[in-house]
Parts: sequence; structure tokens; C-alpha cells
Amino acid sequence: MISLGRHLLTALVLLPVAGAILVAFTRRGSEEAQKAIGLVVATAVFLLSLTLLSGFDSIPAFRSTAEMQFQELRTWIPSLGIAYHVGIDGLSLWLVILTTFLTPLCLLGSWSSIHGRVREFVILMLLLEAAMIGVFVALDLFLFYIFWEAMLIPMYFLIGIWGHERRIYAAVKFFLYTFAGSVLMLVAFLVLYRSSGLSTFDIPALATAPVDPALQMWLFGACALAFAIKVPMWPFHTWLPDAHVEAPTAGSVILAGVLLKMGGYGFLRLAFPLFPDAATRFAPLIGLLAVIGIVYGALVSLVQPDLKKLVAYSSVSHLGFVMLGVAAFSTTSLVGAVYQMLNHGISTGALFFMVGMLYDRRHTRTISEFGGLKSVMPWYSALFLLVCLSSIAVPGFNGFVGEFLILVGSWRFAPRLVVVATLGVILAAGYVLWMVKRVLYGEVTNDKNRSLPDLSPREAAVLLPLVALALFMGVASPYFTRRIEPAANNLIQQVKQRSRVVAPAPAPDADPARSVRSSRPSAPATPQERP
Amino acid sequence: VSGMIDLRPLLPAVLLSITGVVVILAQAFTPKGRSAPSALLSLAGLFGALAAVYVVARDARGATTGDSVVADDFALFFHVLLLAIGIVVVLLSPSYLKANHLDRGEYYALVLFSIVGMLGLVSCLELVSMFVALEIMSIALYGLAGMDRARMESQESALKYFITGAFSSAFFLYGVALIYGVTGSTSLEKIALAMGVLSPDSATLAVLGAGFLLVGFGFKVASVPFHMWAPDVYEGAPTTVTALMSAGVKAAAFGGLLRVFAQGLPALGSHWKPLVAVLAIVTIVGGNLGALAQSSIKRMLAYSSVAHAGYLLTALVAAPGIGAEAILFYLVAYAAVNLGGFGAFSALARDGREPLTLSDVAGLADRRPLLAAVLTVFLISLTGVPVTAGFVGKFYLFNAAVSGGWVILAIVGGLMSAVSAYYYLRVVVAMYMREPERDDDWGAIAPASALALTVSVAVVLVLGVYPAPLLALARQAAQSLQRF
Repeated sequence: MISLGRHLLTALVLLPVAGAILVAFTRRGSEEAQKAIGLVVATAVFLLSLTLLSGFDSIPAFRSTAEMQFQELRTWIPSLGIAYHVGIDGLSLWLVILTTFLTPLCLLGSWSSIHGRVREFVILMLLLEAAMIGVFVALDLFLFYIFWEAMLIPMYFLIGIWGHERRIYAAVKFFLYTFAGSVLMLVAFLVLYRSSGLSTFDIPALATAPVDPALQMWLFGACALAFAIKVPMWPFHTWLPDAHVEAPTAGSVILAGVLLKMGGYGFLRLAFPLFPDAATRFAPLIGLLAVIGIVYGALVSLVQPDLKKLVAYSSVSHLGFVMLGVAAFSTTSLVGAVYQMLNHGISTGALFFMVGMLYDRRHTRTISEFGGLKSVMPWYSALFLLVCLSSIAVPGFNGFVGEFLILVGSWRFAPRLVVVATLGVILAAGYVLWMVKRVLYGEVTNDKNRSLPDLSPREAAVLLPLVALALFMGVASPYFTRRIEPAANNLIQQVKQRSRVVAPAPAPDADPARSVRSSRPSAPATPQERP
Repeated sequence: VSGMIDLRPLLPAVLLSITGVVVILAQAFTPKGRSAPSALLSLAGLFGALAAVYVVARDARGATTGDSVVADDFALFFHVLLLAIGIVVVLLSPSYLKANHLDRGEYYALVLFSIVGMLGLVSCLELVSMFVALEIMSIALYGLAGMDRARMESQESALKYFITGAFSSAFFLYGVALIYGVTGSTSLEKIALAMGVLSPDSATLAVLGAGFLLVGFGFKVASVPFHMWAPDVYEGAPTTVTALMSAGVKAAAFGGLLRVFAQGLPALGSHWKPLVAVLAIVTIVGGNLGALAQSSIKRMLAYSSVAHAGYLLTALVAAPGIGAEAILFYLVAYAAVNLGGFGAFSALARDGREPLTLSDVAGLADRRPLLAAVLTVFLISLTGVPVTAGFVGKFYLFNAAVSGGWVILAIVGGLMSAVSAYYYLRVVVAMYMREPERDDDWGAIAPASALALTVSVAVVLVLGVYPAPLLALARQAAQSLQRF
């Protein structure tokens, strides 16, 4: 395998950019070549990202230290202490691989559904991939913000140019919502930079700087707003149905599969370690909003007549589980949250692909237009059922592992919330299975459905990796979780130590979150000590 | 050396003035029916002046001409910026002038004279000289705004600019008079010294004088509430002149503003900083809200230029070093973006028409993908989204505001940037997501214009990724303001 050593992460970011530049120089008409270049580059990025895994394994000490890996650090803007600092740990490793995994599938999946301006489409997809990888590997606030914002532009174009009827409205709404949410985070970064007195934007360095607890509230609030919009947490979710439904299939897959993970990741990488006191204090509120999101998303999904809207709202519900796990902040719940992010990327990504395939055939997404597809498209129906089972967390599938870890890990944090969240699991089974029944089973009532072609080899090539991974992650979860867990432990220790250092614990009755936390014997899984 | 006046700091301006005269003479001696090589002569003059700046920087850095004009790092930084702006404007002009039947030598002479004024404005250490420079710049621009005599809008533009310009000059002079009354001098160095030891009574007068100066500059940089002229003047003036105004005048006026306030009046900072902060907030809010309501792209960019004056003002409240550094960097980024933006529209001009409304640019991405992409980069940079110079610039401005203790300025600036995304993106939406509404009968882009646009977009992107070298230069230039 290629050995890039310290530059591996940089290469992962730059390779898609190089591919985009290459595509930019192709002639306008040569669409097949443009798609091929895009697919080859994205596949190469995926294969390259897999070498991260072997790198992770080849360092035996890592499993117990959870330190940043593959770090690269070079000065960039010295006058403000801004550096190009990248690295990954167990929290970001799988998210990077999820990104590189989904991007080639998206390019393959859009092979025949994108008409016109193929060159621009491929360029934007590759630039988007670079920015997404960048967000997950950045360890400098300035660099993080650059990638964070740079993501918006390609996604804005993807929705606005190749989307459905109300695409312009959805694209502008998506951009304004997320941009407005992010600028306050930028101000928070600047204030943190000033008040820390460290003259650096380095995230690991800032995570050791004490910040006045009162100030933390404001800064955490500003960051939390940006992340909550991205997740999206109820009540900041209103951009999501528009953006997901109006985006082209590839856009929806990337939005649901990767972009929504940025919010949860932001909480874990930035908001919690940088502002530990505020995080502890806000955790019950985040947990509450998360559970409201679970139930709200599920209830709205129940009544959707439109397939894509149903999947979109189910994302609100699924991401609620992730945020519940984040708020509970135990090893088990954090591992579950990261795992659930991966699950959601795979199962919802697959669902959006499959809805898109139906749309390509029928140019409608209304559930009542379908019915009885099982007999017309047996292969499609089989895979659709598998993906749905993964989405509703049936044991044996990936979703079960994630939701189970989150619910178990959050019990000590807030039993009542967990009880309500469990209701969301049942509701999910309800809206998904009911939808499956109406789409796949029964008689073929609509004549237009009688002669629908089954999956083409290309479509099967898109779906099979996703379904296989969903099953693999359902049975071989330790392969993934053992790389996540050390980082989760590390994060918890870091936050707990600091929230004690900065402010002496107030009276137990003054702060329910803290009293819950301190009454808890250490984390359920024994945290591994750093050497 | 008593009795000897060191004229070297004036060298670039003198060269440029001579070129202006030569351009007019060449026009006069060219036989009827043939056109003088005005643009080429102007380019030669501008590049000659750049060479002169190099010579001055090498041999006479820090020299002063009779204590009134200085060639410090600050002045030299602006010299390079303003001359570069001039070069880009001259590159954009020939095709635009031809398309509008305005191809006359005076145009280039006036452009050169206005740049002479701008050069003076940023290098004067003495308020009366600064006033003269301000007038040289302004009077040339009045003429430029009215170049297109046949069009009512152009006449209106010139007249409006002249009247408000006269107003602002009066405010400026009155401020100079009050400061002179208090300190007994018009030299910034002596003023700065005297401000440290003022009696309470004269302090009031000095603050009043500073206020009048701020109003005078407020007109020139188009800050709310002294911005009313900007939309009409920007819209009515020939587009290349608008580009010069938005990039050059803004830069020069902020240069003068920094000279007076950061170098001459830092001792009064506790008085004028709150004023500037209020001015910044109303300018950011007013400019952005005004831009939201515009249907003409040129007017929208005029209001956007008002809003950007507000962003720039936020950095004035910081300590002089940090604030000036941020402003200098942003002025470069902003100049590149605005030259590119106005330049792209002017490059499409044909037969007295140019794209002015959203429906004019609808579907542009289909027909001219490269131009649409370039325009998109400029609009994204104006919004302040990475990876453009506009983002790094705003980051620095807001960082300066926060370091000065004015977090609220950064919050307002950030939120209003989000508002601005709406109207900037409207142009992108029209270009990429709407169907064309008319035939593409715009002009072909001349090679010189293409060169100017390429340079602009390269500057925007390179500064967005690798700003460190320019930031180091800006810091060095800002430090020379702290000489007294």
C-alpha cells in the first residue's frame, strides 16, 4: 500500500480537490469521462482512507491511549497562532471512512439520474468530499471553521441546481440557516481565543485552558446553536425536510449520511471539551430536546404521504438518539452515539438511494402511488426490506447496536427520558413497517407499477455494499466499537477533570446534572487510564 | 539638512501626474479620426509609479517631504495597493469605453489624477496637505462620474457626488480648524503630542473637531448616515468608474482615516471609539438592509459597499496595531473582489447596455460558465465564506473588534453577514438556477478585461488559502502608524 505517513490525512483532503481540478479541465461534452474520473478519484480516496485502519491497528499502544493519530502540524498564519493541524482519533476515524465510503456510491448512484452540467456536479461532489473530510480531521478552530463553512457552498449548488421543484427555496433556506447559525460560533471562537490567553486556535491546546464558567455559558451556547442546527435538533430542524426532500438523491444521501453527523461530532470534538462546565450544565436540556426530537420526528413520519419526507423526518428522530447519547456522556452512550451516527449514515443513506431509484422510475414519491412492488421488483423489495429493518434497529442489524448502547448508557443520566425515547423505537417500527406494507405488499393497484424494471447491476452495486455493511455492523460491532471506546473514555476523563478544576462543585441541589453525574460510580465500562 | 526638501516620497505621485498631462497632450495632438494610445500610456505611467515605489522603498523608506508627506511602510503599502487598483481599472476600461462610445483621453487622465489624490491622502502627515489630496481625488472623480454626458443618470451621479463631496469637505475643514484651534498645529505629529496634555475645555473642542473629521471621512467611505449619495452615484457612474470608487476611494479614505485617528488622535480614543462603534453598527445594519431591497445589481453592490465600510469600521475600535493590520488586509481583499465584480459586469457591456438586473444575468452559467464561476467567487468572498480572502478579512476585522473589547460589533457583523448572504446569493441563484430570459447578446470579453478578472480572482483565492505573507506586510505597515 502507499505509504504517506504523516501526510495521509492531508492527502485525503487534497486528493478530491485535485480530482475536481482535473475534471474542471475536461471538455463540456465528455460526460462519461467526467463521471468516470469522479468515480475513480472517490474510490481511490476510499481505498486510501482504509489505510487509516491498518495504521490504527499497527500501533499497539493506541488502543489504550486514545491519542490523536496521523497528526500533521505546520504553521499557517503565525501572527494569530493559526496552524494547519490535522489528526484523528476514535471519534473521527469512522466518520472519515463513512464519508469516503458514501461519496463514490453517490457518484455511482447518480450515474444516470443527473442530466446536464455533469462536469459541475462531479466537481462539486469532490469538493464537498474534501470539505467534509476536512471537518472531521481539523484540530485547529480556524481550520475547522474553514472546512465547516466551505461545505455549504457545494451543497447549496447541489440542491439548487439538480434538486426538485422547490429547489431554490430549499437551497437558500439551507444556506441561510446553517450560515447564520455558524457565524455566532465564529465569534465564540474569537472570544475564546482572547480569553484563553494562549494565542492559539489549536483545539487540543485550548481544551486545557481554563475558561470562566459564566463566559463558558455564552460560548457553549453559540457553538451549541451552530451544532444543533446542523444535527438538527428540535426545534432547529425546519430546514431539514426542505433540504432533504428537494435535494437530488446524491445530495440527500450526503446530507443525511455525513452532514448531519457534523453537529454531533461538533459537540463531541469542540463544545464539550472546550466548555466542560457549560456542557455539564446544558446536558439535561440537550437530552430533553433530543428526546422531544425522537418522538416528534417519529410522529411526523407516521403521517407523511411522501416517501422522501418520511425518511427525512425519520432522520430527526434518529439523530435525537445520537444527541441523547451525547448528552448522557457515559462511555457506553458516547460509543453508542458515534455508532448510531455511522448506522444512520448507512441505513438512511441507503433509504434515500432506494427512494431515488423509485423516483427515477415513476417520477413520484407519493406512497399511495405504489403498492405490491414485491411481485414486480423482487430484488429491490428484498433489499428495501433489509434496509428498513436496519433503520428500525431490529437485532442483528447495525441500528440495534447503536440504539441499545445509547439507551443503556443513558439510563443513569435520565431514566425518564430513556423511557420516552424507547417509545420512539416503537414508533419507528410503526411508521417504517406501515410504509413497507403500503409500498411493497398487497396487490399491484396502480397499472403504472406493473412493468417497473427491477434493480439494474449499477443500482445493485450501489446498494449491496450498504446492506452488507449494515449486517456486518450488526454482528461484528466490536470491530468498530473497540476503536471508538478509548477516545470516548478519554473525552469523558478530560471533561470531568476540567469541570472540577475550573469550578468547585456547587451544592448538589443547585445542579441536578452534576448531582446525577457525581452519584454515578465511574462510567459503566471501566475507563482505561492513560499511561 | 535645513533648507533642503526631500522630494523622494512624492516621486510616484509626480510620475503619475506627468503621465496624466502627457495623456491629455497626446489626445490633443492626435489627428482627428485616430485615437491616442491613452490606455497604454496610462499603464506605462502606473507601472512607472510602481517602480518608483520600489525605489523609494529601497532608498528612502521613512523619508518625509517637509514634514507633510511621508514614505513610511503604511504609505508604501497603500501606494502598491492603489497603483494596482489603477492598473486593473485601466485594463478594464478600453472595452467598456468603446462599448459605451466614451473612448476619450480625458477619462484616463482623470483616473490618473484621482489616483494621485489617493496616494496623497494616505501619505500626508499634515491636515491641510491631506485636504488638498482629498480634493485632487474628489474633483477628478466628479468628472469621471459625469463622463457619460448623454445619460441623465451619469449627470445626476456627478452632481450628487459633487454636492455631497463639497459638504464633506466643509465638515473636514471645520474639523481641521477646531483641532488647529486647540493644538496650534495641523501637523499630525504635533497634534498627537498636544492631545496628551489637553485642558478639559480644549478637550471638548478637540473631540468636536475629531467628530467633524469623522463626518468628513464618513461621507467618503460611505458610512450610514452619510451614505445617501452612494447608490445613485454608483449606479449612474460608468461601471469602471464605480469599480475605481468602490475599491480605490474606499481604500484611500480608510488610509486617511487611519492616519488621522490611529496616528494623530489615539489619545482621544476613549472619546471617538464609542462613536465609531455606533457608526459601525448602523452602517452594517443600514447597508445590508438597504441592499436587501435592491433589484439593480449595481445598486445592490453600492449598498454592499456601504455595509463593508461598516465591517471595516469595526476594526478601528481595536488597538491601532491590530485594527490597522486587519483593515489593511481587508482593503486588499475588498479591492480585488469589487474590481472583479464590477469588472465582470463592465466586461459584458455592449452598445451602451450592460447587465444590470437579475433577469439580465439569469442563466449566465449555461452560456458563460467561466465568467459565472468567477463572479460566484467574488460574491462568496463578499459574503465572507471560506476559502476566499473575504473570509480571512472578516475574521481579522472581527478579531480586532473582539480584542478591543467590542464583542457586540463582531456579533452584529457576523449576523448581518448572514443577511448579506441572501442578496449576494440571489445573483448566484439567477446565474445558476434560473432559465435564461433573453438572448445572450452581451459583448465578448476583451483579453485585457479577462486578464484583470483573472488577477482579481487569483488574489481572492490565494489570500483565502495563504494569507500569511500579506498579513505580515500589513502588520509591518500598521506598525509604522505608531511612530509618534
